[in-house]
Amino acid sequence: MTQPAWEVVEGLFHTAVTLPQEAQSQFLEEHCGSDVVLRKRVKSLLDAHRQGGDFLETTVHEAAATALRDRSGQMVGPYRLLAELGHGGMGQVYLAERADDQYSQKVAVKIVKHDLLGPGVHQRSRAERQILANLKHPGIARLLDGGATESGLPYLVMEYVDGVSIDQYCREKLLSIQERLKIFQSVCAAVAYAHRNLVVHRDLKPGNILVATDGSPRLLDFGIAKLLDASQIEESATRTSDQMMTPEYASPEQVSGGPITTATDVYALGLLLHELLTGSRAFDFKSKAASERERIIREVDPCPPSATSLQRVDKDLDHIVMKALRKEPAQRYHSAEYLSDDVGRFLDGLPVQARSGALGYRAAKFVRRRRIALSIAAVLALTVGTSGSMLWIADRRAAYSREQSQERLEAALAMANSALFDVHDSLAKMPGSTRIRALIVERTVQSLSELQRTDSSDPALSTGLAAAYEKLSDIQFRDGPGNLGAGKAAEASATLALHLRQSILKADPSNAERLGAVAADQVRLADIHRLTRMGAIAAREYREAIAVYEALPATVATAKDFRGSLADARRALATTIAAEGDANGALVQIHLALDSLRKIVSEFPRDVDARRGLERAWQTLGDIQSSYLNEYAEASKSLTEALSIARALVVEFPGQNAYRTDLASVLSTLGNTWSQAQDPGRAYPFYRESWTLVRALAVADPADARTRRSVAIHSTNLGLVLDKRGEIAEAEQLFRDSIALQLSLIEQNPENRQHPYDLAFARASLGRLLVRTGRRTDGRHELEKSASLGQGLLKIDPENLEYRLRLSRTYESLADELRSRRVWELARTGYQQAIDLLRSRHGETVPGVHVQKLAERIASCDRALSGQ
Amino acid sequence: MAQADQPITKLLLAWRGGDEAALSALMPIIYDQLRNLAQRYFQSEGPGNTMSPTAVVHETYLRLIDAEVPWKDRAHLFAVSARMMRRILVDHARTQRRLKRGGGQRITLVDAMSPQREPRILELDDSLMRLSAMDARKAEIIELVFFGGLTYAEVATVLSISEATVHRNLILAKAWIFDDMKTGDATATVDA
Repeated sequence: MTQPAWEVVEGLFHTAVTLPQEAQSQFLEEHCGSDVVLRKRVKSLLDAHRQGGDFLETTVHEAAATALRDRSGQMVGPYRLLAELGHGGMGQVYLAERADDQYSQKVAVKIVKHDLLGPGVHQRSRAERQILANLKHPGIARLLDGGATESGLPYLVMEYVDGVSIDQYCREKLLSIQERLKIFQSVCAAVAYAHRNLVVHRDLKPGNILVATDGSPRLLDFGIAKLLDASQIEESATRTSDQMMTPEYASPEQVSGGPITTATDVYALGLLLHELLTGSRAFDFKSKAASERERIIREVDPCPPSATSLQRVDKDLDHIVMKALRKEPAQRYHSAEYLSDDVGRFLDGLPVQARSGALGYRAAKFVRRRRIALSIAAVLALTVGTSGSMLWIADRRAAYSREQSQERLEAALAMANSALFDVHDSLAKMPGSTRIRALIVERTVQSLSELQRTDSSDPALSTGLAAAYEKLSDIQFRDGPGNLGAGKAAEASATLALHLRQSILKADPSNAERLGAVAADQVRLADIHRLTRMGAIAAREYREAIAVYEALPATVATAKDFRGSLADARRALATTIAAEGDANGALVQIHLALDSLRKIVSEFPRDVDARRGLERAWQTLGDIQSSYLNEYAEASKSLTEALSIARALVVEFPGQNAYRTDLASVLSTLGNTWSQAQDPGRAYPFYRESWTLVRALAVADPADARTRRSVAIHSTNLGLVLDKRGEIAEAEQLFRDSIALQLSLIEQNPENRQHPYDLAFARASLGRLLVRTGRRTDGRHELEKSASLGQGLLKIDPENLEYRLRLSRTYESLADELRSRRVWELARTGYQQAIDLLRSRHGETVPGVHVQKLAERIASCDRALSGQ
Repeated sequence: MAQADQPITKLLLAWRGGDEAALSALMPIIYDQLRNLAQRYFQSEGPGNTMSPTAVVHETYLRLIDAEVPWKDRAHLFAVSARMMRRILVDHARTQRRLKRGGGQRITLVDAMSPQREPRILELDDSLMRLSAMDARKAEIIELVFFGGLTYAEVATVLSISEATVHRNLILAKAWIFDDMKTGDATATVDA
């Protein structure tokens, strides 16, 4: 077929293009006659003219933008950018290499385009970056480094992965369902590892999972979403993370602004499995409005894989996928491990767990309002910035006009007050707000101290400053969630607050309110000392505070708040002196506290603080009964009282993390009780539930050191009962997780004595497990490390009973191990040290049978030695 | 006329005269200049930014080419520049494609990434070559307008034709390329 002459086409086109569209075909009919090819050619050009629009401009614009943006060849920190790998709304990714390296390791450098992250943020995000950098797993591309470019843009350096996305890999290699499931399990293993380290990916999708040429999957960008997100919360009120999510891979809690937990990743794994089984996305949102997408994600279940897959997919796999994709996070698999295990059961031809739960499952509506809360937080943060400058203005003006300054001062104090109480307290209820709260309070403290330097006589100013220091101290440490674990700093802040309160009191020594404030600060300091294991100091401070409360005039002392505070101080004192060996004294204090709190609750049944106080008092009593008096049945009764209050509070206030922390604490005390009663079967469900609770809390706020510590302790405890139940592998893993967490906590906060104490226990537990399962050398090393930690602690606090008991147990285990290898001499020394530790000042509280057992072992060593 | 002491102008003219070595000498100079401007371009990027990359290119040449050069010659230089721009963009896209073919890490960061499609600029380049084989003038007009950022008046001067002719040619050339690239797609699909 011959092409029509170009000149002819051109001529017809130019005439036709001037005609209205309806007239064009008639024009072509008339002028092309029977030449169908010519008519088609011109018509096709006319169509192109109509449809083309700006495509040329767009194409060239895109190409030019790409080329201009390219920083290849430039240096970012010590890295030379080799080539752009891609770009998105947030920035660019380059293939790069370290310029100063002998061996040139290829890395991926991600540069965040907009400077959303204001100055101080780099430093604050460093801690979180460190957590991510500690993720070392063959299935996770490591975060290697980070910093800021010369122009101040933040960048992250990741391990470069040479591979293709998992969906592409499965497609191209034509993998069978079995093979796909195996790869999926490897992905689950990597996710589970990160979860154990309290890192949630938040943005798992096939494009983030590359499969290397050897067939092993690698996860990219672990926790990066959070890292960038956290910074944005502080600096920008205009964007939220879910707007940047790929809608097809967003979870219900992400679109409705609910808390992001490990369950979010489980959901994403469900979507991934769905896609691997069917070859297409579980949801397809092309051409759907955002609101419609969100509704679908929140309410509509996707088709089960068997309905959409071209291959035959077993119904069991449907159940597994659908269980992972439950709308309500709590209804999904509890962890990536469980999901992977169920896939494993399917591969082994065993019945899957997902089937059992499927019938009872009803999708619950799940609406949380965290997103709104966060935008409010951002707005409030800006307000605080403003109040800072207000204070500054007030300060300057003071120099000019005394009168005017008074006015300004009051305005400034009002602002500070609002920052400290309204803003801070509304933020405190939100998970993940620790850093922003610290920032708010630090700024307020700064501004108030500036003011105080010019005018130290104003009692209102001193009061404001004291309140600010108190808040700061609480964020830095106090017994409760949401703190940064900085014991020393908290102690300093609380001491400053106490001094201010004392000087305010001096002006009016019988003022009940001022007396109460002094006592409250004494309790605050005592709490810090108790929790950093300075029991003797804490006990003295509690007694001082109690004395102040008792000295209050009768008219005031009957007020509910003072009675509650007094009871709390007694409870804390009871805990402290019990740990110092005075169980009877502790019982006296705790019963006084319980009586008082029960009265308050019966007078004010709606008073949440009083109920919480009562719950804690029951818990303390239970703890003393089980830990120091071995009255397990009694302890269980007390703790069950505490448990019912704790559960009720969590149900009534689902958004309050503090109540969840309380619940976890009661549960774990119950676990401890049954564990000490040598009944691991009864301990197990309590430990499992509390462990799950604290892990979810830690994931929601990774900056919260106290929750991280809590996860570590819970891991050790759960590991211990699992160990007793013969579930060695999970127990060992939990001990190791706990150790890793403790090490990172010690690194962050070396002064806190809790961490070495906890670490010593975790190491001893792991050591015993290893020795028992035949890995003697490794086990002995753990025990030795544990012993040296224990010795270090005893040097600081030689009479601490807990330290002595634990260290004695460790020596005993070491000696047992030596004895079994017939190293009699050393074993004997070990037993002797174990006994010596028990026979200290408080030796009488240690059951004599134990000492007797140790003495018998020494005798057996002696027999062996004399027989040699 | 061409200034002997103006290396860039001289090199541009030499390249126009068919000297390929002049091009290799020009490339780094122009890249550098583009980079400087690109920096400014991306600093101003954000909501409401309307500065187009083509405008950046145009400004680049304005800076490079001596203002003393008579207008007619400058217009010619722009024509040369447009060709160079096309070359730069196509080379860059080729390098990118080569890297992508090598597999390796996707870019994800936090935001959604639509799967990276083949850069359309390479198809456009192919299509322009086909057009040029059939109707060289139309291909040149496209190049001047879209890669060089020249106005119709400037194009008219460079090619010594009327503005109306420029406009007519451009309409058809655009339609032809759009049609050609679409057909190219269809063929590719059938081949696969």
